[in-house]
Amino acid sequence: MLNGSPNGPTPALSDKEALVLASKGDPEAFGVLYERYAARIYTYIFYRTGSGTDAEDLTARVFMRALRHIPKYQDRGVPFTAWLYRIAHNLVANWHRDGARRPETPLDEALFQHSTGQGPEHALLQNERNEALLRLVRRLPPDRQQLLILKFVENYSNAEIGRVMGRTEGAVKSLYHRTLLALRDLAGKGFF
Amino acid sequence: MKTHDTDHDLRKIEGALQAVLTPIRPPREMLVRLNSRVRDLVATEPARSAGLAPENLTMLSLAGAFTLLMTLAVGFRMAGSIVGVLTLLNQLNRQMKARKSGSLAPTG
Repeated sequence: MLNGSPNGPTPALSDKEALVLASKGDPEAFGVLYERYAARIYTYIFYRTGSGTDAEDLTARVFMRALRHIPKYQDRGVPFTAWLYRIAHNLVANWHRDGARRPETPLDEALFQHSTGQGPEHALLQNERNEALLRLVRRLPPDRQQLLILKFVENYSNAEIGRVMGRTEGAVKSLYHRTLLALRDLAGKGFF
Repeated sequence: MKTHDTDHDLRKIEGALQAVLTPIRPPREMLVRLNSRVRDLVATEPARSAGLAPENLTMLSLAGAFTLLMTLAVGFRMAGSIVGVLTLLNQLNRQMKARKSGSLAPTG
C-alpha cells in the first residue's frame, strides 16, 4: 500500500532485491517489504504487549527504525525478518522498561473468536483461559516470549528461531524445554 | 514414571500454546492508519536523514546563531586589543616626536 504503483514491477521483488533497492533509498521497494511484514510484526508486538494501540504504535516505529537503518543493512545470511524481529524485540523491551508499572490490558476479544460450537458460556470460559495463559506467557523473560511467538505464531523451526535470536539450534531447543517447564510451574496444578 | 508425567504435561502445555498463539489478522482500519503513518515517515525520511527535518533545522539555526555570537564576541575582543595596541604605539610615537622637538622635557 505504500508503493504508489500497484501495477509496477516492485511487488514481485524478492526480499533481497527489495532490500538492495530500499537501501539505496527506493521508497517503493521499502513499501514492498513493509506490506510483506507489517502484519507479522504487528502480531508479534501484539502478543508481547497485549495492547492493540501500543502494537500499532510500536509497529510503525519498527518500520521507521528499519527505514533509517536500511542503508547500513548488511546481508549476513540472516533473513530480513530476523532483523525486523530484533528491532521489534528491542522496542518492546524499551516499552516494558518505560512503563514498568503499566497495568495489564486485556487482549482484544476479537483475538479469541475461535468458535468451538459449544455455546457462548463455553466460549467465554475458553477465552478467559486463553487470556490467563497469555498473561502467563507475558510473565516469562522476553527471550522466552520471543521464542514461543516465533515457534507457534510464525511456525519457525528451531534453526530459524536461532537465526533471529542469535543462538544455536541446540540452545533454542534447550531454552524451549525450560520455557515449557517454567510455564508449568507458573501456572500451578490444574491449569493445563 | 516421573519423566513420563513431565512429558505428558509438556505436551498439554504445547497444545494449549498452539491454540492460543495464532496469527492475528490486524483490523483493517488499523492497517490503514498504520500505512498512512509509515507512508508519511517514508515521505519525510530523505529530508530527515539529510539533517533537514524541521526539528533539525531549528537545532541547526540555534547552533548557527550561537557560533555566530561566539565569533563576534571573540572578534570584538581581538579588535579591541588591536585598537589598544595601536593607540599605545601612537602615544609613544607622539611622545618621541615631542621629545625630539624639545617641547617635552625628559623626565627623571
